[in-house]
Amino acid sequence: MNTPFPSIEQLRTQLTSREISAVELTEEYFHRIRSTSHQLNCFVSLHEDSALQAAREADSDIARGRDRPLTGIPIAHKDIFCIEGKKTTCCSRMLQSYVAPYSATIVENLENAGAICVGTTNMDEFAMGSSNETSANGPVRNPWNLQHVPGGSSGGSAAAVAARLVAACTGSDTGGSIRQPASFCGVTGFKPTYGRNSRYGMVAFASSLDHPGCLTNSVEDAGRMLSAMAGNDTKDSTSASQEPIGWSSSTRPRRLGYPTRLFADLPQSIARPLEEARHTLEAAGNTIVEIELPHFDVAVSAYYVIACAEASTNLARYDGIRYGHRSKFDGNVEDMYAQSRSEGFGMEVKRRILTGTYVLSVGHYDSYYMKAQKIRRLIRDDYLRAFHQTDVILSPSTPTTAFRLNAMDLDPTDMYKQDQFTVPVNMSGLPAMSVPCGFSDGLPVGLQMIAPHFRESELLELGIDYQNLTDWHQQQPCLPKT
Amino acid sequence: MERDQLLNEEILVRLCQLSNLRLLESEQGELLHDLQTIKRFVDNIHGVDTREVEPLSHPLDMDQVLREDSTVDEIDRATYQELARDIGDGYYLVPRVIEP
Repeated sequence: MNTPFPSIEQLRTQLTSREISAVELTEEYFHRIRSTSHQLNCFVSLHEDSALQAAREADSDIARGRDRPLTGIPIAHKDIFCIEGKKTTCCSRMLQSYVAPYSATIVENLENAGAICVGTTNMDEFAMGSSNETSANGPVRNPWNLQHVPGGSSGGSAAAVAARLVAACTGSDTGGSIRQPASFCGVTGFKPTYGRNSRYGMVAFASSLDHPGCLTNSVEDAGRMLSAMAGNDTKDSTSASQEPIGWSSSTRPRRLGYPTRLFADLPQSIARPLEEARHTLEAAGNTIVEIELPHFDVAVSAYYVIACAEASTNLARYDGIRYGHRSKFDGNVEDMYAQSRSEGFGMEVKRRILTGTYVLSVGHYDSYYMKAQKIRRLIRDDYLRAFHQTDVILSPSTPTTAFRLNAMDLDPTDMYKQDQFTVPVNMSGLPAMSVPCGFSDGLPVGLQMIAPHFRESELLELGIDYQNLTDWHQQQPCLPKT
Repeated sequence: MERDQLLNEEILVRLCQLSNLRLLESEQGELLHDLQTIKRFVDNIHGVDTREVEPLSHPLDMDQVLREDSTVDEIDRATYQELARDIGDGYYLVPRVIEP
């Protein structure tokens, strides 16, 4: 390869000019993965045989001029997306031996666009976590500092992209699970509008909040991935029928919403890079408009009521009968259900199922679940009101940089607060992304950009402009030699 | 304080029954403490005035589109049943429910 870690566009140019073959490129990525990924624990499985077979087909397609947008590009999928004939475990003991009988729509879409899947990435169990420490496969480590977490739940995807072990990864974002790890690992994490990407074949956590998306080394790469992933899908009744995602390279000034209060309580080490990013965007001709998001402070609480309620319902399907872990201790059928679920689920999953059951139970349904749904409307309306006077809203991605492993073991709500800047966006279904904007003590800091529904192009154009002015996205971690 | 007392061991046992979960003795104390902490954390939603606010269950104002009720992809029974631990004659087997 000409440069150590080229963009998807550069890789495509090298492939179509026959400077490198898809087989050589795939082998090169497997070489990197084998020499590095054990330090990070970011992969759950590698699909070397099928990837090399797909690479040979890609070379044949290129030779015959049957080129597609991602032909020959090595990617990995978060272990939450079904891939036909491959294990999809959601990093849970519950699905340890589950081999998917069909593929998720976004997996098919990326395959149809020519992408080559090299394997699946580690994640928090059933996407429940913000540190990747709840995975049944053990924690992922942050490539910028191995004693720190990569964020979660798409921590394996973020670490793999940051360490340049793949060109791009898929991820899922229910409360920040793409943007928070992207921020912690210094990569671009993009969550499109709810309904833009099909959820068919993605293991459900909280169906009204789950968003498939991607993690990449640049905003432009994210645009290429999303263009291939997105599209209406009749197999997902919440899938939206919209114009394809596009973006233009022309720079135009935008009105950027700035919720001052969200930036006020940040530690100086985070506030400084975010402030510099704001100045960079202002100097590029964009206008800063101060806005207010009055219900921001209750968003995390309302989110956890809704997310846990939906999780307890969705995870009721794991009964040990048709698929998933079944206990050897059978007893009667009720015992078998309870024992299989208790052995299959980890502690964080149990915590959320029990919380969800509580808020949905008689006497609490109205005071917790319905109350949270009403607050959800207030939160969404705050954003819609702000978009009357702005094109894109800026926000921190996270309240801290990546924290140390086991730092949040004592109080589960400390971990939940990590998502304070990202969960309101999921509750509103808005498109948003995190882009790297600097470092603090050697760890990356992320800036979040949020756009109105189905205006992903605003984010892509603004993000590309920002990355043309800065080089934070080109910084690479140096992993220790082993 | 009064709210915490409402989430006690008795409620935890009931929640486990409803959730089809069986906790180890070593898990019970930790989970009860965690659930009380989470409850205290989410209780600030009660301070928000939501009178005359309609609940929002879906973030977008869009109609749910129903597709034609016809088979799209068909996967044969054997493929699905390979994922189950106990099957027999094309059926899923569970512990006996009705004694003969």
